[in-house]
Amino acid sequence: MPEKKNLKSASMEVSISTPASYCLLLLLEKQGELVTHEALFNYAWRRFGMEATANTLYQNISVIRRGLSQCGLKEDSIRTMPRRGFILSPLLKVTFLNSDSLIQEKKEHKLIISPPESAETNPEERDLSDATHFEYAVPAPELNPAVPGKGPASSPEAVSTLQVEEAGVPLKAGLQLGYLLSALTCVLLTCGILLYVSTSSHFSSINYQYLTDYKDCEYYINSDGETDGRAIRLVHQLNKTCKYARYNYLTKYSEGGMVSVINCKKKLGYLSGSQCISEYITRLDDE
Amino acid sequence: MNKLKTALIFLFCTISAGLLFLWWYLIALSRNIECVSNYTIHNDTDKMSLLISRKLEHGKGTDTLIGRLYREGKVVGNIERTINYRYIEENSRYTMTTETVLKGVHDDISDKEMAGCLSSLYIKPGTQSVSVIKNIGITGWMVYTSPVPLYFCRKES
Repeated sequence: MPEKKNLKSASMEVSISTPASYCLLLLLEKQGELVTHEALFNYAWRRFGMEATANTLYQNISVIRRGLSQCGLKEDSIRTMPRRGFILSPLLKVTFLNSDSLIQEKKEHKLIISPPESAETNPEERDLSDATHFEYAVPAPELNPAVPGKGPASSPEAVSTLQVEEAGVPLKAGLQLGYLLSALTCVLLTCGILLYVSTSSHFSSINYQYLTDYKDCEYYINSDGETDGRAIRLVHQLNKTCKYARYNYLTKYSEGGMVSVINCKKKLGYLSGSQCISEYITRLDDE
Repeated sequence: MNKLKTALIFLFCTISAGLLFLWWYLIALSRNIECVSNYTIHNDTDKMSLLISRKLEHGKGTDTLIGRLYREGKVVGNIERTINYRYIEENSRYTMTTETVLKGVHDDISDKEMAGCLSSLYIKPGTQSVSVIKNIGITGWMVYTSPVPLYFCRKES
């Protein structure tokens, strides 16, 4: 016997009883045809050795109607034929779909239930109809006719799960998710650009390039200044000892005799702070 | 699907908020400067070693200088003064005008000797001086009066 019976839409999941799920399955299989009380009694109860009253049958049909309604299928999809039986509205569009996603490696089919075609004529109703498609999953091997009549039927094991989902929603939800992702990506990009603009000037301020190592010191020099042999001569001329700090950042231009030496314990970086001693030399004797 | 959407929105909002906060922080960092520097100036004959503390906020700035002037290896003067000034900032260029120069009890250096090493911003009220102050990452600022940096000023934590 099935353990779990659900009518499921994107926003709602409604549990129904086992007999109710069998009744719905039979109505789906015989959509548009009259399903007599006897056929429903046989399909949902008697073949399992149980008996049910007409009152029980009507209660189960009522449960199905309420479940479908809660899941968003507002139309009166199950019509009562007094003292005879029930008909699942032929206007509902029921589609069987292949699916790999359900129970225990069993290949299954899905039934998609859509509202009547007439809803498509009105755009507003069309939107509503998109939200009231359902998928009804049953195992494929069980679709052999067990009850006389046209269309697929199932054995008792056929409905080991009964799921109803909104079929129109995946596309719509996918689109919504796409819009959401696009919007959020735009926000992220904007933030990133703002951040880049505000930090680019910071990065451009660190314009030193590696020059040489000399007496335990590591020298860097401004990349738009003297980076050739003159810079090496400057290093020799400075003749610094680097006991306190290893990294030296030199700034010297061809014109102007000023030299800046910033001597740091750590490398100057965007995030790494450093204790530095700055020297400003207004005139350095040329050799 | 709804859970996925919620998770995505939460994730993106968190990242965006983080980026915006960082952006705001960097903007604030550029506008409010509070730093300290060890600074040595060499000229032809003298060497001045200073500890400079600088604070700039909302158009008002304060520099505190403590140090010594050396000539041929000997101390010839002590510096201990606080300079208050107002400033106008435009594209990292700060135009400063001295309002007060408050000398400490140990400050015994003459204005002439001071002027040999430092801008008159630190000497006379009413003097105007221009500095360029650029962020070096989030950890400090480089202070310039020309393309050659004067000193690196480390952000005070």
